[in-house]
Amino acid sequence: MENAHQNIELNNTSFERDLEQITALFDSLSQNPRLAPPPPAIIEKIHHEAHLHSLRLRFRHRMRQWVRITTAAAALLLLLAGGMRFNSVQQSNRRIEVINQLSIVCDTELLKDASLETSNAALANLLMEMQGLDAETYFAFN
Amino acid sequence: MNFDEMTDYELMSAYAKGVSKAFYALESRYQRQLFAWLVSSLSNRSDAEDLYQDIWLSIIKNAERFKDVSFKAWMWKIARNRVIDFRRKKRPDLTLDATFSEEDQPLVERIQSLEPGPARQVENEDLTQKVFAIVDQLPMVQREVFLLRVQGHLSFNEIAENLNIPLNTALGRMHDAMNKVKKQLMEVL
Repeated sequence: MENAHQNIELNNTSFERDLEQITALFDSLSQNPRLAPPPPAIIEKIHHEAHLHSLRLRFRHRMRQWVRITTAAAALLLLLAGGMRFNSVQQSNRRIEVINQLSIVCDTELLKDASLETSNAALANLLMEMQGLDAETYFAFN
Repeated sequence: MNFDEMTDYELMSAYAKGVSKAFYALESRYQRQLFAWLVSSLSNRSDAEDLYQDIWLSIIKNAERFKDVSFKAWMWKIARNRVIDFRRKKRPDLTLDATFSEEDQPLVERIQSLEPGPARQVENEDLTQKVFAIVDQLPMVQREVFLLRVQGHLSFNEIAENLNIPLNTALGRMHDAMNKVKKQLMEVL
């Protein structure tokens, strides 16, 4: 209490100093039972409510994490599927290109055998056969 | 996890992830100053207890919405709004001579009615009574700034932000309040 009284020597002091002293006075007064912390029952009630809410928060946090992971996995799968589709379309285009070349040099009878189901290697062989070329000569021409 | 070393923001973030102990640490950190401020502002311990609980429940419910701002400023804003709402609902203003129910009687009278304890405690009660009588006489706008500074330990920037007033206004109000408190303390002590 003596400290509190000493803190009230407010004469001729600056604003900051006065403020410091008054704050110190209030800090010392906070020991007064009327300003003492709230009763434990209230604290317990707050903590209990906080604990219940924390369970909900934890659940929501985990759900958010799960959604994030699932979304990332789905995005990765979509990317892979897109890549595979792109590759397949590119292969089809290559086959169509070969058939177009065939249509230029062959009669329709021969084209019947060159279906889209035929592999690239078979089509290439067919093309070379029709042109009467072997692989070496074919690549020398092209 | 050492909660005492964590910042307010870290504690709130931990609580938003479901760590209840982080909230206990936060509540304990501001318990004394917030409650003392409530008692001083409302001049009634019972109302202060209700509002104290109300404020923390509001913080709990809004924990997820807490963003990267000062927790202290956020908490005081909630506290101040609750006090304003409470005053609006219950009564227009508090004065030293206002008469309410026994539990509602002003702090000054209630401190007088306390049972006598050891000499030191009586001296403390006496000083508390005088100091709070002086603070209660301050105009509301000055008292608000004064209590947020000396009990809430908020910086003037935080007070200005909290009360939505310019910094200079907050400083001016504090200056006026300090002068009045100083003058009266010197008379009574």
